[in-house]
Amino acid sequence: MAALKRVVPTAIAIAVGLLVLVAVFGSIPLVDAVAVYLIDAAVIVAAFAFFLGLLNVLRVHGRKIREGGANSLYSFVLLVALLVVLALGLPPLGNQPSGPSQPAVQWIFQNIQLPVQAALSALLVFLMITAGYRLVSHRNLESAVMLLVALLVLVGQVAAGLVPVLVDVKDWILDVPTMAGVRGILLGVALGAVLTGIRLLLGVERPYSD
Amino acid sequence: MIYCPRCGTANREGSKFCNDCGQKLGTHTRIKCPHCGIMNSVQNVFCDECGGRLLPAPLDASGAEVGPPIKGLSLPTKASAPEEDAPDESEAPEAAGDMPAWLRALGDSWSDEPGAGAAREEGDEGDEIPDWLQDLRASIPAEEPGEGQGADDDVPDWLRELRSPAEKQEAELLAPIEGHNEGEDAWLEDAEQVEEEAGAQGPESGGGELPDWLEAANASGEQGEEGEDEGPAFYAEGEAEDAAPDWIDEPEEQREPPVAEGEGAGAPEWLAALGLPEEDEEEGMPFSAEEEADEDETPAGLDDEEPEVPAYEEEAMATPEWLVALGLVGAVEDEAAASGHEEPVEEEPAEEETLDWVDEEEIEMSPEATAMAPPPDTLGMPEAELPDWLEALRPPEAEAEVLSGEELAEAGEVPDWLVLSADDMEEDEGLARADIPGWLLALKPLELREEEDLEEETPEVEEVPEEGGLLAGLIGTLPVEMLIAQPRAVTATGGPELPSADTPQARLFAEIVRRPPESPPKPMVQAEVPLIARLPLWIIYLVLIAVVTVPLLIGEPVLVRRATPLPAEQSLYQGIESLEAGSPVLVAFDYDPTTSGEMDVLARSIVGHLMDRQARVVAVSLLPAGPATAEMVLDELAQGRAGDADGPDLLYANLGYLPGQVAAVRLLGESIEQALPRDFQATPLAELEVAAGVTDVQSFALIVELAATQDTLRWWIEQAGTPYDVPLSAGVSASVEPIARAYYETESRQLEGLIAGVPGAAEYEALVSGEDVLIGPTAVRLDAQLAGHLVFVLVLVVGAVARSTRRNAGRGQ
Repeated sequence: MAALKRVVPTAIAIAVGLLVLVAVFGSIPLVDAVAVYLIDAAVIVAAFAFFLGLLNVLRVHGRKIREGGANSLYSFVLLVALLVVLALGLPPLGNQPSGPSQPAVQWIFQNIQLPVQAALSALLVFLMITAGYRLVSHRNLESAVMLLVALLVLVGQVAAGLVPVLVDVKDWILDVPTMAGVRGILLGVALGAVLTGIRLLLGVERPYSD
Repeated sequence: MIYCPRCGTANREGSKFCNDCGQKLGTHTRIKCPHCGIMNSVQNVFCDECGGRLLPAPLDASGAEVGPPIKGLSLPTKASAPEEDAPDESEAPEAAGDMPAWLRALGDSWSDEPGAGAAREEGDEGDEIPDWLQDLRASIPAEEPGEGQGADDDVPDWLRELRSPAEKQEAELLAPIEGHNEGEDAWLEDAEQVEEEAGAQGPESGGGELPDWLEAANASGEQGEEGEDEGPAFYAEGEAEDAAPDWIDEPEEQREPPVAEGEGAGAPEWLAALGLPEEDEEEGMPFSAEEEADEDETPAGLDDEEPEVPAYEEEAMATPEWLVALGLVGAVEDEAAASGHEEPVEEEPAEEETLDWVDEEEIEMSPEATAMAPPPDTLGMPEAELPDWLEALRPPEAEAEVLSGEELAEAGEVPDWLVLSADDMEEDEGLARADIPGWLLALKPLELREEEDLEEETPEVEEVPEEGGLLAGLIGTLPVEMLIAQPRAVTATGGPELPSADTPQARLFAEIVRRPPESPPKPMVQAEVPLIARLPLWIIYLVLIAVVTVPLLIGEPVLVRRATPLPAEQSLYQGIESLEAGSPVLVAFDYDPTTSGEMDVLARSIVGHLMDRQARVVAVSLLPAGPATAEMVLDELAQGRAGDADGPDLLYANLGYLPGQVAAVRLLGESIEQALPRDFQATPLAELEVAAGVTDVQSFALIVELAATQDTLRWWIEQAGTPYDVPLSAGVSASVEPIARAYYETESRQLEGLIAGVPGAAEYEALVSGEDVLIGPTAVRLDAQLAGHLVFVLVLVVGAVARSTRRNAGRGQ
């Protein structure tokens, strides 16, 4: 039975992988149709993961509310907001569309979620200043190089049309040393992806059964 | 480090005088091998290069080495009387030698007993000899003197096993010492002469077992019958005459000076170190001058640890009672030059060249100093710690034998607070630096800490794997980032950890800590940080907000910037310009409100241009919040455009969110109907005029990816643009630009065009508008961004300068 549990998933994974691979390199209508169906199934599974995530959020914060404590109020607010948005988006109200495009939901997004997230992101500037200052305090070569490059790129980024030299320096940094590193990384990633694919097709890698 | 022979203070290498007491320090830090000439560490007994012995070893008449037991292979061994090394006596200096100077200083200051400082090698600056030394003196005569192997009794078995092969071999080599006539050095000839003069004493006289200075005393004694067993009698201060050792009773004629005058070459180091300066000068052997002349070639062990013990000198000037009682004084004084001679027989003496290290250390020893010289083990020569590899070889039982600290404590040789009980030793068996607990190490002065100590205290940076991007899953790709992520200050730890060894101090400390407060503790007043102290931080924040806000409030570009579009920006512009009116264009809004501040600017530039070209914009997103964000931008752009009169639906269609990431892109490439059957407004795809005729990715004339992260950019390039050969351009966040450029700078142009960040958007707007300067709201945002960046740079520079200045000022003080 244990062998069956190991063999069957492996065989399915290999078969699906080979089918999609053949569909990419070949043009057999039946195989293409099966491949598209399999990819569509993957999208559905990914969407279903959101539903599982929703259930998990309900369970976790429901437990926190039951247990009480200082932070239970936040869990309560979270669950209330979740249920309100869900309730607003689920049923069609007259001719209004349902889902995220529902006007009430859209209003909540534009007036609550977007400003809050944007403000949180804007706080990064203070974090960056603090991080940069601390980087100065770490006196080593890595810190010095990183700080110097960061400053040059930052200044060169906003000096467009003002100080061409700074822009040229920034472009040189991005086009020469950075490009070399990025290409090396991309090649490594590509080789790693090929290797992982081969291992999956050969059944050496079995993330689904571990 | 050079440890002061007087006070034990550790001084820097090269110091000539003690920083604490001003005592002159030896300047020799290396010892030259007499065989190969290689300079060795002063802690070496054998040469690192050729294995030859660096320090002289005493020989008995048979030539066998009976010299000092080597307590550690790195110990700068001093010649010792071999038989007085009872275990408890040899342990004391060993334990003391293991302690660094700072620890000894702590021990002295903490100990209640005046003699607690006896852990030092030499006595304190007072007149009295440390207690442990007096105890030794008192106890030695009562002990049974050892035989030839007496000294070895103190050596743990494991160490003897380690030593035996080499030394046995050495003894075998040295056994036929009489055969060394050819090419012998002068001192060796003298040594031979001594043996001849000593006559038939041979092994019975103990000459091989006793140091030469003792033989000198022997020769000047009045009487003696036996010459064998009472080696350590020189310590028998106050002993009755009848208790004198037998060798003292030897006939006068047998007490010839064993060494020719002036040949102090073979004196053991510790004996040489006792040489009084005055006597050196009298004998025409200015020791200090030699030191200066040949610093490098003089064995460092003779100087670095030179025990110029004031107590010894004073006691030497006052002739010991037992010596007076034996009537040795006069004879000994007459034979000052002849005393203290011990042949430094080499393992393989060089036949032709003179051993310069011997010549340089010709020191006449005064008989008083000789007589008072304690055995080298008790001289407190700092016995170096055993090397790690040797510690690893130490069997458990041997270790227990060596570290019988309780016995030492009973003998008063080691302060109680340094003694670990047997149980503790069993528990802490694995500690390499055994005796020093952590809380005590924490008291070690910073300047005395070694690099490894500092490294141990350096907080390790926990390297976490990358969570996203190309390097997802890899660990430690950017250590600097981890440094930044470290907490600013290490939180204060609790109280010092009590050592496993329950010392009196630790017990007292624990008792005080546990003691309930005599009065109810006063509530701690939380020290408030004054406003002025927080002012700089707030000033920085306020300045930053002001400089960013002011340009936005002005609404017009403050700076005049010339438009200098990059080739990638021009390529994107030309790609859109080449589109026919009504061409379907797929725009992926792969960003959410978090990055909308930057990405909206890019989206407005590109999508606005598309709408100007009357392209049919079909929007999708791989992020859940993407469609809502896209809807805002699309709706804003559609207002007032050409097709607005007929309704915005003619300009764009928002197909909404598509889950599945890579698979979603691939599915779009195969079938849009299957991937997104309805749009964001839940309208069926078939009913959307903008999407008419669109079945898959290949139906689009252009794909535009608006990427805030590199992942979505890669997905579109790898799964849609390149496989289906559809032109793909991108507007990316400035943080994604380095990755995106790699796809643009390819021969096959996986990216047709590219703009990045707010500057790219401003340049693109200038291209679209045909202006040669940057204008419009995007140029205003660029001014605000420039002001913010300048504040950022200024904070870094000023902060670095201030920090450096403060640090230098601190050093100056």
